[in-house]
Amino acid sequence: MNTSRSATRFKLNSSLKSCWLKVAGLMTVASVAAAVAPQARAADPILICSIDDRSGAAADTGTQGYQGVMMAVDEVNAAGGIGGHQVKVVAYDGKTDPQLTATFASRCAEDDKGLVIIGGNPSAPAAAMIPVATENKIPYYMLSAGTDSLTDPPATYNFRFGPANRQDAAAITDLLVKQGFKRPAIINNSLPFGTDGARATTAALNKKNIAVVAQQTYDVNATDLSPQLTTLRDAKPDVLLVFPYAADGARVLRTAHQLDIKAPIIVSRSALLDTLRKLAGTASDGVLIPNTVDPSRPDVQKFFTALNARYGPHQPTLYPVIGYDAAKAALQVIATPVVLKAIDAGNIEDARKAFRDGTEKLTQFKGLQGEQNASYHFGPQQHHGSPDQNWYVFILVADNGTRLVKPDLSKFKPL
Amino acid sequence: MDKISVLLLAGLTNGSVYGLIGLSLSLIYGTNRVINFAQGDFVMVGAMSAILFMVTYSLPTPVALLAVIGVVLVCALALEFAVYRPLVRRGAPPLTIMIGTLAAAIIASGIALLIWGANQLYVPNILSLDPITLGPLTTNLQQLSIISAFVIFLLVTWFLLYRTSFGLCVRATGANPRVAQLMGIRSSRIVRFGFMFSAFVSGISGVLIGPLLGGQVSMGVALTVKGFMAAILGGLGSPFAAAAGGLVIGLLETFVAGYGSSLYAEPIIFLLILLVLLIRPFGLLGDFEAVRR
Repeated sequence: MNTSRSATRFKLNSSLKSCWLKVAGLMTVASVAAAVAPQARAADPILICSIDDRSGAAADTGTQGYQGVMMAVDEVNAAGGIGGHQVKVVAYDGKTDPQLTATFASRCAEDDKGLVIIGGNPSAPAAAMIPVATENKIPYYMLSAGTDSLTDPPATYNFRFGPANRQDAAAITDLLVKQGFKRPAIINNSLPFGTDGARATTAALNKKNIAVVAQQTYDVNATDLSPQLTTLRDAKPDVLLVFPYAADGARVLRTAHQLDIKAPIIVSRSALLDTLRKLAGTASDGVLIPNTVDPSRPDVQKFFTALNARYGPHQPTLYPVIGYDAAKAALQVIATPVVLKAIDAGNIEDARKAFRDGTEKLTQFKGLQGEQNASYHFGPQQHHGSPDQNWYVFILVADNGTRLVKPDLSKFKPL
Repeated sequence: MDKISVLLLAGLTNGSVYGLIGLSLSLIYGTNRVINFAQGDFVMVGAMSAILFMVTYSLPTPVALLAVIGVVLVCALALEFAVYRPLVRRGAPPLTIMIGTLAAAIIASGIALLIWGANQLYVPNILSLDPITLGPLTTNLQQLSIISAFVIFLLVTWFLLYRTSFGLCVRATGANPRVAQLMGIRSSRIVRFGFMFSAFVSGISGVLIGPLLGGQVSMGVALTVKGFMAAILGGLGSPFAAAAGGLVIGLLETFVAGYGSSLYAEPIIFLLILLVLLIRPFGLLGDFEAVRR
């Protein structure tokens, strides 16, 4: 009996002892985990979402914007990251589909817990991300989407790095006034980029008392554009302004060449895309394009040397540069103590808010867009960063559309 | 007068593109009463294969053309055997089969994206793009070839349907497949002919319009819509009515653009289609379909 009682006591003691040991072990593990946790969090990568159109009608712009983002992010990671964090890019292809793009933006904000969204070249998918960014309070850096209303009035979390259509229009108008043109004609496609570009340019020209002598709109899938261009030719313009997408822009230039239209031609920034010039071939030679990248700047040359080495040959256009500038600005804002503190505390909401506030303080951010002395200006009521002055550099198409060169503007005069 | 001539030629060119796709759509519909939503993707495959064989592999033009035709015919057979037949075997209604063809179109775009990438590509021109002046008109051989191909395919289709016993079988199957089968016509072969001939027409169209529109893997959707509009306006039951619908849309688009603005062309055309369908529910030339019903 005694033996059995002592055996029972022994069992109880031993099970209590084992229980205490387990509790002590768990507490040790918990305290070690608690001590290690902040360090582990500190080592977590910072997530940036790149949501852009790398397929569909505007694939060139999205692909080049993404390449610019990757160049900036890889530079900072190679230098050791930011505050002990590596920066990771989660990339989505919105396929130039606004609905799909908005879905990816929600996924970035809710599932990926991204700090900022970078992307948006065509206006429609870019516009689709603005309400998602506002609702989820996630900063959104928009790239080359040009429609004026995207940042006017400014949405709380949306910031634009590319130029707006009104700025393209003002730059073109200033050039026409300077070069003595008085009878412009406009042709544009029926998509938002085309109609908004034509509207903004007509308004800018009217302000300078220059009347548009004829304007034509066309469907992007029309095979033959001679009706529109014949009408424009008959109006005897001294300069032709074109607001197309890539493939239809090539058709406009080929048809103008076919109809022997001699007036000088300015094509909107879509002619910076290789596709348009490749499809147009010799018909694109001599065309002038508003660009926001000055190829004579040493830092721009250095960037394109690195970009070409990594992704193959590129002409000096704004699309990869805007992606690069936006990512560089994002990385600069991430490096501010208030954003890093929120990231280290694991509080993504606070980090996003601090990031948004930090972007509004980028009043003199120097990027690769614009002339040498130009810089981006953001502020609480200024979410469109491109300034109106010293931003545009016109560029000329040469060598069967294969090269973009500095133009001799003394030859760009009315015939 | 000069302006009208220019508009007429441009309208004929644009209308021939829509007419060719309308003709292709109607050829399939005429044999199995199914609207093929992948029709525009046959055009895309034609244009993109031309890039593959003429640029990537640098094959001589005749060999490349044969290869393009081979590719589109294989695609047509794939559509028939992988989508149409399994659905028919399971008793799927035409609407379900139509959605099946839409799924096939999306899959085809996805595969094309993997092969050719997302960018708009230059499709080499078989004929010269240099300007030709014909009185007040300026055009080029590539544009004229589209109108020529449209006329040739219309004649070939007419000959096949109305001057051969095989054409009689096709028409019989289109009028009443069950009775045709009872008369000993193998309707499955007729349907296969419909898929292959329409893919052939669309593939050649892709080679011809590719140099003008540029090649892009998602170009099929817009072309299907335009072809569908053409077929509905003309009359889906007859290839010739669908082709005529394409011409009407092309001419309308051009004249609205020439004397107004392209911005309003599509709403005007859709309004017109609506008005036509209110008066003639089977299309402008849809008597055959009306009688069949």
